[in-house]
Amino acid sequence: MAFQALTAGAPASDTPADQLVARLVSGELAAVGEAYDLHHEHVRRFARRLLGDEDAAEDLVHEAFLTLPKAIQNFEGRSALRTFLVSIAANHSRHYVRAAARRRAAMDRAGLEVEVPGHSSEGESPEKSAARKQMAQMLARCLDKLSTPHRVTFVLCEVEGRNSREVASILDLPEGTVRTRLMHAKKKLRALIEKEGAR
Amino acid sequence: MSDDLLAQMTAALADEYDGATAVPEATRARVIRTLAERKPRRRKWFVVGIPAFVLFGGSTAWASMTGHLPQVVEKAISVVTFGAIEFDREPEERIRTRVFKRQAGPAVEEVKAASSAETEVEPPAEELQEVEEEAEPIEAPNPLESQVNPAPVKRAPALDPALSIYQSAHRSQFRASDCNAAVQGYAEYLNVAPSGSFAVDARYNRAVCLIKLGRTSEALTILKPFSEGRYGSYRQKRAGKLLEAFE
Repeated sequence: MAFQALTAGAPASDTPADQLVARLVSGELAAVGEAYDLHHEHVRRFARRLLGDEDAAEDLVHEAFLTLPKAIQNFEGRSALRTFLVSIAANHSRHYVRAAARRRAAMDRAGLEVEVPGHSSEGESPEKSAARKQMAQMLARCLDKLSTPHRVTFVLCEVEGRNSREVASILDLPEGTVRTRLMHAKKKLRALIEKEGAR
Repeated sequence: MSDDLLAQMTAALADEYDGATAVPEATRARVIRTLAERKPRRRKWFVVGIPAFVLFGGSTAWASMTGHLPQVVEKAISVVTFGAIEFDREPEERIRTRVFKRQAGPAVEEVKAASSAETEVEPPAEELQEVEEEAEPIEAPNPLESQVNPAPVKRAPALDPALSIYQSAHRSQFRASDCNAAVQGYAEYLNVAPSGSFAVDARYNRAVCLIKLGRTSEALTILKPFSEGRYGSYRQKRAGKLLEAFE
C-alpha cells in the first residue's frame, strides 16, 4: 500500500512527520534538507558503527539521503522515517562495507593505525579511552571478515541495541532469519576474537 | 570469556562511533547539490529525448510503410561509417531507375543522358576493353556487400520476366564473361520484348558480345543502325568506330 493511499483522507497526516513525508513524496527538495536535519545523526551513527570508517560513513549517509526521494515512493508508513532511512542505508551498505574493509586492510598492511576521531567521556582516563578505542578497532577488523548481511544484522541488533522484530522490519526479513544471522555472526566473531587474542 | 570480551568490544564500538564528531553540513550540502543537479538533467532528457524518440519512431514507421527503410538504413550506415561501406546494388538499382525514367519521360531524354555519360574511345581494340571497364564498377563484387546486403536479388521481386532475362544476360556478359550465354540471353529478351525498356541496350550489348565471339558480320549488321543515329546519339560514336574498325 502506497503512502498516498495510506494517508488519503487520514487525519494522521496532520502531524509534522506525516507532512514531511508527504512533501518528500511530492519531490520537494527542501523536504530532503529537513529530513536530513532531523535524522542525519541517527543515520550517521549507524553508518559509522557499521563501517568503522568516517569517510565511508559520510558517503553512505550521502547515498541514503540521495536515494530518499525515490525510495519514499514505496514508504508504507509502518515505521518511522528515521527507521526507514536506516533501512535505506542498510540496503545500500554493501559497497561501502567493502570499501571500508579494503581501506582498513591497506592501513594494516602499511602498519598505520586507522585514525578514529573518537571522543573521551568526561572524567575518563586516557588509558581507558585508548583501550576502548583499541577494542573498537579490533571489533571493526573482525567485522570485516563477516559477510555483509551478518555484519548488518550484528550491528543493528548488538551495537545499536534494536530488537529482532525491529531489525526484521528494517531489513525486510522474517524474524527467524534475523535471529539465525545474529547467532552465526556472533559465533564467527567469537572465533575471530579468540584468534586475534592468541596473536 | 570471549562472550564477555565480545560484549565489551560491542560496547566500545557503540561508544566510539557515536557520530558526535561528524561535520554534517558538508554532507548536507553535497546531498542538496547532487539532487538539485539531478533534476534539470531529467528535465533536459524529457525536452530532448522525447522529441528525438518521436522523430526517430515516426520516420522509421514512414520509411517502412513506403518501402524506403532499406535505403534509409544504408544511408545511415554510410554516414556513420563515413562511406567506408559502399552499397553496390547494381544492376537492379540501375534497372529500376531506368524503367522509371523511361516511363516518366521521352526515350530521347534517357538516351541523351546515357550518351552524355559515355567516354571517348580511340582504337576499336580498346573499345571492348573500355566497355568492360565501364561496367566494372557496376559489377565488381563488393566483399562488404554480402555482409550488409546479402541477397540483393531478393530485393527486387517486382521485376517482370523480361527484365529478369535481360538481367541474367547482363550478368553473363559482365560478371561471368560468358558471351555465348549473353548473346542467347539478349536474343531471348529481344524476342520477349522487342520494344522493351532495354531493347536498345540489349542490341548494342549483343553486338559487342558477337564481336568478341568473332561473329563480326552479325555484329556489324546490328551496329549499323546505331552509327546511323536511328537510336539518337546513344552509342552512335562507338558503333561508328567499331564499324570503321571491322569493315
